[in-house]
Amino acid sequence: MDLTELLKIANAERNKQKSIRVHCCTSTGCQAANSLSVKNNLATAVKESGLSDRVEVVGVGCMGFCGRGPLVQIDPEDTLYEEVTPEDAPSIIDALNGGVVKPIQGDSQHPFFARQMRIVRQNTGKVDPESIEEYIAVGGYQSLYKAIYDLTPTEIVQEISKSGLRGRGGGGYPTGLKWATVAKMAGEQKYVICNGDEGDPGAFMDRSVLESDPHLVLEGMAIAGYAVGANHGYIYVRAEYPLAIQRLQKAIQQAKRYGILGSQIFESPFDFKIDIRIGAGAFVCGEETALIQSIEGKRGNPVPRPPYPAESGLWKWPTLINNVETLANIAAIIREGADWYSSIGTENSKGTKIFALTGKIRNNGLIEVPMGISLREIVEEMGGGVPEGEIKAVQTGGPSGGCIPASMLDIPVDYDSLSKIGSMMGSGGMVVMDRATSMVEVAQFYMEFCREESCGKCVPCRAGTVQLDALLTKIVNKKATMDDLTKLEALCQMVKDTSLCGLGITAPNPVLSTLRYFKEEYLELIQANNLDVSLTS
Amino acid sequence: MNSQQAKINGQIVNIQDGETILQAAKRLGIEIPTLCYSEGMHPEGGCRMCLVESNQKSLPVGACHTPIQAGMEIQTHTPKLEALRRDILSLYLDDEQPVFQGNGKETKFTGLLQDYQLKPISDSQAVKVDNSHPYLSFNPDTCITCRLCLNACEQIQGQFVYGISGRGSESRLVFGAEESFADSPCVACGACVDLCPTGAITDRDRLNLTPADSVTETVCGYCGVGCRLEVESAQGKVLRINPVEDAVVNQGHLCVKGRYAHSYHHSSDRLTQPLKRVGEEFQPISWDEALDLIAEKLLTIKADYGADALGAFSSSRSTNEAAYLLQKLFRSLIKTNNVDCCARVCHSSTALGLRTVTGAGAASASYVDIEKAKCIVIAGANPTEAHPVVGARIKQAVLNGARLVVIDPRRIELAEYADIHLQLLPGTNVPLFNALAKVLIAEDLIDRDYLNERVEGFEEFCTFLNNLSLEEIASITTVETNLICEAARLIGSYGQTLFVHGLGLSELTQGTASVMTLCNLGMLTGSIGREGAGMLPLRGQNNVQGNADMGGMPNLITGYQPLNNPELRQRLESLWGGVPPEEPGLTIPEMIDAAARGDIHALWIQGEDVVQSDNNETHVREALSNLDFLVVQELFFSETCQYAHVILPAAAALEQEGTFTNGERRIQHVRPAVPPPGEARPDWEAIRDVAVKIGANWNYQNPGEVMDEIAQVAPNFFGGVSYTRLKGDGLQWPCPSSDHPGTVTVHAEHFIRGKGQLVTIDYIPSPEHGVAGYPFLLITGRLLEHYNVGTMTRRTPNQELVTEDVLEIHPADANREHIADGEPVNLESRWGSTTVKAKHSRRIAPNTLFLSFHYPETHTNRITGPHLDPKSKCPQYKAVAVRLQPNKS
Repeated sequence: MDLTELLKIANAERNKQKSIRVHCCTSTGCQAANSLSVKNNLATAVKESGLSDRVEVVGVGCMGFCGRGPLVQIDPEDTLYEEVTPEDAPSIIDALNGGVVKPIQGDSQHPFFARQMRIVRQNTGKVDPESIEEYIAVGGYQSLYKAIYDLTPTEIVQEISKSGLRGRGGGGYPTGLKWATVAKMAGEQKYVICNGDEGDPGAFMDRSVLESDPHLVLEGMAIAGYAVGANHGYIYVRAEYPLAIQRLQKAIQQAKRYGILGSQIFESPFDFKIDIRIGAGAFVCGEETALIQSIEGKRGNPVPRPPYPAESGLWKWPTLINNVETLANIAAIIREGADWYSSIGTENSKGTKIFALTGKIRNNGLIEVPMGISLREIVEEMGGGVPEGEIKAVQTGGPSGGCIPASMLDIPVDYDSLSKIGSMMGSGGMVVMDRATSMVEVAQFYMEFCREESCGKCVPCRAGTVQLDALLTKIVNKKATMDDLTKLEALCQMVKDTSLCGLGITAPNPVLSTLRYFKEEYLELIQANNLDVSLTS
Repeated sequence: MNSQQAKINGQIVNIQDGETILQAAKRLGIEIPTLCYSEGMHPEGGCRMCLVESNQKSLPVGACHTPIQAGMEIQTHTPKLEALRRDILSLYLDDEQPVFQGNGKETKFTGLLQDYQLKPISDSQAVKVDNSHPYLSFNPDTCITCRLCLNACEQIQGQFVYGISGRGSESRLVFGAEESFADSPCVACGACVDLCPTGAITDRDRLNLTPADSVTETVCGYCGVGCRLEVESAQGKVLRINPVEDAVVNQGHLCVKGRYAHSYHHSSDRLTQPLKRVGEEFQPISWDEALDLIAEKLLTIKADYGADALGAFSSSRSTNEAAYLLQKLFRSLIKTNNVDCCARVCHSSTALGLRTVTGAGAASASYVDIEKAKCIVIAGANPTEAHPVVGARIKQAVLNGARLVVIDPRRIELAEYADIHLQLLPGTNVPLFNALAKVLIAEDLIDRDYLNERVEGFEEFCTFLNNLSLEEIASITTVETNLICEAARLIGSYGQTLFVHGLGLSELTQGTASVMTLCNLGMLTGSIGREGAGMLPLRGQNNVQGNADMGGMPNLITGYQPLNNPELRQRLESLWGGVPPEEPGLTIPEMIDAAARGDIHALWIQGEDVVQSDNNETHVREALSNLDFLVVQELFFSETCQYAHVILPAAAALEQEGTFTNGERRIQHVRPAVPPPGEARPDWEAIRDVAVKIGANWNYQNPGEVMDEIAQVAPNFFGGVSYTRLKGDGLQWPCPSSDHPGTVTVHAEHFIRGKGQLVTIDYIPSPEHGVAGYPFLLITGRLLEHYNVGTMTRRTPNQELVTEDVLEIHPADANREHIADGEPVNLESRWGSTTVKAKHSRRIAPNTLFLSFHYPETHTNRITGPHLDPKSKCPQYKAVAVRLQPNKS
């Protein structure tokens, strides 16, 4: 396989594609809403209406508007249908022939779509994730070719550094710096790991990327491997994502068949193979050192850093570990250049970020927006605000993040602004809460999550989360006193100051941020207890 | 502060490479509290007690796992940190869900609680304690899941007994998939017991809270590894044994025998008085009577039948000083060289083979080379059972990345960790090693410079190998050709290799040949005389190396000096006042034969149960019963004692002073921790007193004076050895002068014999191979829990761990022969038969069997035959033609 052949495949695929493409989402969310039957019926309808020569039905990845699935979108007209049932299929196809449209027609120009900026999700909803040819037809793997033949590993690392890309898994560590560290390590063996152990409640960005455009992630990993000098990659995916695993397996096989993965990629001396490792249901395995332990076949527990995985990671070899979304940015940066990428976003947060918009909000789903967009724009304009009443808060960053009060909605969404106000970017979960939501209960929900997901290795997290959960339960149940509140605050600080890994260090964040912005809710529950006490005595 | 410095509590510290804050603080004398940390293990970082403040970090950092860096300013005991530590500790004591419940015992953990003014919530009733194991116990109520035990098990012993079940607050220490200690794969090394900060895991000895009235540093009396011990005793009884933390040999580690199997010292059936045969009975006599009787009998028999009608077996369990004096007595006073030691029946082939081709009959390498080695070959040794502390070190080396080739007919534990296991037919080492050599040379995986400079015989060797066919060897050894090639390539790709070998080489008719052909590989790869490489035989007994060193051999005087060496004879004349004959004496098997013939009339057997341990038991019994006079020095009334005329009660390993020399030539000081029982005495004293009765002018007041004489007799080896220098880890010979530091790597500059010798030895099948009607080859050997003939371990709770010898048989063979698992079988060779329980095991290959010899009632050595290595006279224990059938009686 060389460039000519790659372009030949792309051309052949484009020539093969019909002029009208009916895209039907086959990701987990829409599949749960019976989108596979929709797709079948659409295909039957095309055949029966005799449109097969110019219309094709394509199963595609996630279009983002998951709350309104199953979604069907038709190119080139960009017609959108929402909440499609299998019975709607004939009329959708009929409409292509000038018939009357019955199903709910969506608005593809709705701010939910219009305000997005798609880099990572550029192909999702447009290509069949199970076809490498479709990926190649939209320019896929040309960045890898460019990386191998037009750039040196050092130039690639420089390009990634210059782009300003930061880790999308939550930490926000500069990706180029990480790559540079691994690249400069001596070591006869190095590894690239893609962290697909997405575990925050309400977060499904990575699942969507893996299910919708697996080759984009593989291409990013291969470029990373070439840049840092690794010839072996692992994708660690949680077992709860069977469709993602299945599509990755298929994608790896397809790429190997074309000589795009494996030995002598594009007939160059560069070898890179990718294996999948499946998680076993522990949230903490998203923490990089625990993830590495898990790949090694050990109990998935964090180990102290340093040494960082970049110096001594998988089987003690230098290891680059990046999140799915981070790696999904790489092909675009190599293709379009660091200058283009760094022109997007804010001074310290470049590019775009995908968010999973959930909770009390009209437009549930995935959005990709440029860094620096205001929270208000996301929640009110794109998300359409809460269905009833008013917004009270937005939780970002999952169990490690915090609750941002409605009064702060004008804050720009970037790494630094979010952490400044006690929350964090996190991996991209964004849960909207309305006035009816009890913030103490929200804090307790996350604490219970952390308690259950604590690995048990370090004592503050193991025992501290139990005690924090107990105190919060006491407050929620109106059994707490002011002493308990003092204890809660002190314990939060202690767990934060003393835990070993990120899980424990950030576990108190939902409590701390709700205490910061919604302390009155805690006080009310405590006063209710005092009232009960005084009434009974 | 300069660019190589940091500050801890205001004190400047010079940074050492790879050092953590905790280690740097320790150097400054600043103690930072820890619970889950132990020096030498990977930091767990879980207890968070060692958190300190750093000017470079916003949050406190774990001192145990954070490297100290230039410019750091660390505070270790600020009020904030102390408050955090107290808060963390109180997490264990939550009212609702206490992690820790006190049990009244003072431990590291309760000490910390006290330091921070905290008290355990309740006193546990200890209802859930797991007492299933003879030595160890576990109380989950006091376990704080710090995982030190788990880490110790993994990183010291490599046994992986423990696991953590559940997450978060539900996490609990478990024994893998097993319910109890007894069912777990625990090997009772006790490493976890030493480290458990709460006493949740403890042992029988440590449950006994009797305070020690004395603590003695000495050396283990079991195997040839030579672990240093710290023995706690009270009122003359051993209470507990701990490893010496910084011992270079055992590095703070011990095994189930060294640590726990000590109660035999105080066993009620110890011999406590000299005994004299009267008819079929034994009567107590006084020491004086016994000494008189021995002196008289020795002299009479010498007068009646000549000096060569007497002989002595010196003991590898006893001290160097005792071994030296016994051979001196027979050589200088009786004037016979009929002196031998039990190395004859174990490592005589090793010593002879190594001496022939390298010039020194001992390990060229040391145990420290295990950690330095990149590639290790284990041939005919089962270290995790027979030399557990070395076994654990090898396992750790492999877990840390060393490559491993195991050459053994059995799938021993370390074979599970090996890159390649060559499971050869017993007794076919020579062709296999030749085949490996052939591939190394054919593929140019040899060290040509080394061969040119330091080795002779290369041309002939190549010619010899040219005539060998790999295919033929594959068929002899039953190891596939491609596997042989693969092993050779692996070894060749690393070049310098550490060759660890044992009795699977030595105890064969081609024993010496096996050792020498293995040395061929050591020379081709340029390994011998290099760090992290070379020959490392694992010697059997605590002092088997020393016993041979002292001259417990019929052909060599102390320090491997030939009898006819004129300088030596001159030296002996002045030091001993008399010289032995120039002609070598008889070996043990030859003395046994001579006794059976009636040519030997008197034997002195020091601490060796030849009836149970020597080959061809029936013949040994006949020979001993034929003697006019037999002196036995023993701890217990052994099988051999039945044939004695005088039995002298001996002091055990923990009851005497002297020196032991371990398998890496390390002479270590042995000190008495407890007194011998009754009238039992150290062996060397009895020998001295007999010599005096005979008329010699021996007035050694202590074993140190004996060592001073040894240094003069063999100055090239021991000239620099004296008790004043044997502090701590002792000295490794050769140590020729008082300013010589001892020798870690022998042959470092050049081979002691000048040039190393490549040998051209072809395979000769032993008389036990291909015997019609005897379709199986039996290997005899040892189990972890017992020591040799079991005299000591059978008198300890190890007896509860393994209660009998069992015959390992491959399930395929067992099914074919209709032998059920656990069923008794009649095992028969051409030399004898016995009945033993069969155990199905895949550790053994089809058509081979394995049987241990720890119990006298097994009579394992009725089965082993009369065949000896013609050079070393070492019997063939490792391949005996046998047949078997179910025992229907």
